[in-house]
Amino acid sequence: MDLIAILNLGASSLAAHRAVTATAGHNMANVNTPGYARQRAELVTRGAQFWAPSSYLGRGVVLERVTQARDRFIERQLPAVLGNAARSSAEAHALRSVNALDPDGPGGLAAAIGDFYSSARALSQNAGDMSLRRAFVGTSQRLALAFNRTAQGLEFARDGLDAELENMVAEVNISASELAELNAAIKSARSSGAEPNDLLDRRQMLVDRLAELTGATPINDGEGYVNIALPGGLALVSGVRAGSLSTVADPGLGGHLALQLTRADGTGPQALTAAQFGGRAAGLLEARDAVIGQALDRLDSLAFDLATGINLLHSAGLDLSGNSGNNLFTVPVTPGGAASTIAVNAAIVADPRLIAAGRNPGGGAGDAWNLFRIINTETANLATSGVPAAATLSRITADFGAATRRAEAVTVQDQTMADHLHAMREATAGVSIDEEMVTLTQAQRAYEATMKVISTADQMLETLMQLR
Amino acid sequence: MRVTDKMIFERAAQYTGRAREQVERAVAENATGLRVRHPGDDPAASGIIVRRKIAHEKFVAVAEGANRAADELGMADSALSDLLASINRGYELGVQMANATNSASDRAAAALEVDQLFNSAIRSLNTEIGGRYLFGGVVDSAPPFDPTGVYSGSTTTARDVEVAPGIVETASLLGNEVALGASGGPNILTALTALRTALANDDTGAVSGALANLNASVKHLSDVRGRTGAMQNMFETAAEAGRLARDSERDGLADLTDVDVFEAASRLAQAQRALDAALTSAARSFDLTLLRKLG
Repeated sequence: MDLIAILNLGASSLAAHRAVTATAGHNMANVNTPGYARQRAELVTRGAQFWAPSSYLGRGVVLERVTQARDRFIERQLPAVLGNAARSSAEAHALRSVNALDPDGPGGLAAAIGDFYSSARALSQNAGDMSLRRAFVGTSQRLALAFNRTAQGLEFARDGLDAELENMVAEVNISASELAELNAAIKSARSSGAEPNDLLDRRQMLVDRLAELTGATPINDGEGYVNIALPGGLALVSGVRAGSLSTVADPGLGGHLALQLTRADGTGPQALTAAQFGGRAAGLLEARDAVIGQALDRLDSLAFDLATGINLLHSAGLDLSGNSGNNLFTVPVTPGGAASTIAVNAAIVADPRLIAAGRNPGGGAGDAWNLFRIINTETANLATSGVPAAATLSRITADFGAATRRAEAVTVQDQTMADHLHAMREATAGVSIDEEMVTLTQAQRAYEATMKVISTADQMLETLMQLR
Repeated sequence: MRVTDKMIFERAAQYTGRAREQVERAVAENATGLRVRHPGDDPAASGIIVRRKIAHEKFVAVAEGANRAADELGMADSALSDLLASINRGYELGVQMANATNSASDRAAAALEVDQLFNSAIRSLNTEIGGRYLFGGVVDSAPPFDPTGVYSGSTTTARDVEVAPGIVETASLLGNEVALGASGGPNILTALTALRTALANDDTGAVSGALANLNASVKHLSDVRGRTGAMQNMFETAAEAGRLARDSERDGLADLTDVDVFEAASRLAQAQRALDAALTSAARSFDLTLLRKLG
């Protein structure tokens, strides 16, 4: 091997070790970059040169490629796990944020029901007393207001979840669009024969994020694209094209938002059900409709059945003037919205003499026969729930609490699993500063050694040049 | 397993975050004294709390109502006692004036006294509390007896009061049954009127004749007082039962909602120690890096 070849050996070796240093530096710089997978500069020996009569002499080292450290097995499991963790977390957080059904909340429904029947009992002992009649009207109004406020609290929670869904949809669309662009960019970059590791990192991050948001799963096709499919099988990203989600107010959901998909090929929009989602979307929808929505429906039935039962009895009684009673409460004709609209009959509010406490015409101011019947509605089974009002409200509260508890328990499990897989991914793909420091030191030593080789070859060349 | 810098920092954030959450929970518990703030804290207890709150109010109202009824019956008994005193006095006068040794003017004076006794009887029968008349049944907003003894209260319907949820008992007496013989007893007012008339007419025979009814009136009123006393006892017992039930619900509620102060303080101390440990170990793990050693 001639001296020039040794100098070339040195040059390529210096370049290789510079690449190692650069890669280590890149790793260290991105130690905290979300989604970054550490890169490895893989060196290979340069092809040897034949040195007559019977030897091959090496020609140093060269950078073969820069690869990412990723565990494909773990990467395959992560989207489902991330989706589950996001789903349960979203549901748990949403339910925990609802305080309308807190059992000890001031002005709560339990206290209002208790006060209503207490004042009815007090009035039954002196049915002609106007101050007691006004007190009864007052507690009736408080009962109606407690229903209104509880329903309002639940509706506000649902409205808040609608807003979160809208934000989520915006993020999904941006991420899907970017992922489609990355598919194109990565394919183009790969045409040079090298792996665009940073683009691959970014794409993987988007895959993870879409899994968290929608429960979508990535599907690698033969062309190097990563396609994204929603849990129902519909494609959100197909090659270099992205579909988009949108929201629409659904009368079937009381005006709350439903999701729809415009496909990657531009067709649609197609209405989607909650079952066609996972991830955060599913958690929000589950909380909004299956738990809070159901609690609200049951609350409406409670308000409707209680008011209707009381109204039936009140209308059959006689007021202080001996006239037939009217409805004590105003409610819609069907249970829907009863809790938010229930109110005391304005005529009775204006004139408590219209409270139909008695039964006999001319029966006397102290006739409280009808009031006792109204009091008995406290323990009467309601039409929808089949149990009395207190038990109905108890069940609504307990069931809501059980759903919250369940979601939180599942969140702990899902999050533990997600944390475990995260840790395993990080163990493979994460950057260890200590390791990079060792690599840097290694590369630096090798660089210094190679400089020595170059220096020695240079001196040998100079010696040769000085021969006369 | 490889441990990277990110893992170290993420775990530190996770563990300290969890420890802080525990501290927050313990602080909220200690500050509010409440064990159950959200239904998710204890779903079963939340449901029971709702039921117990309503039940507590129910028993408060039942106890108060029964107590008031007992008090009113006490007042009614007091009025009956006055009425009985009037009848007894009438009887005494009758016995005295039936004797031929008394003069016509004596009997005339006695007649005036019996007239006063009649008025006193009417007053007793028109006893009211808070504008409500005790012997009018459900027609209780006006005096049941007019000055001449004509009754305008309810003839059939006495007032009822709950002695237990859903169970009502009669809590008042009907004036017509007490004083006008509607229940098969003597007509007390007629008996007094008859005595007054007999005395005014100086008719010793009629005076003697009035004594039997007056005697029967005394026995009748004693019976009525006995029944009134029994009713009063019943309502006092019901009030006491209501109070016991109220207290039971209240204590049960407290067991469910209130935090045990000592346990809560202990949990707070534990949570704070755990947070301290998490922070210390995080700080130590941050220090151990080759970057520092190589300088």
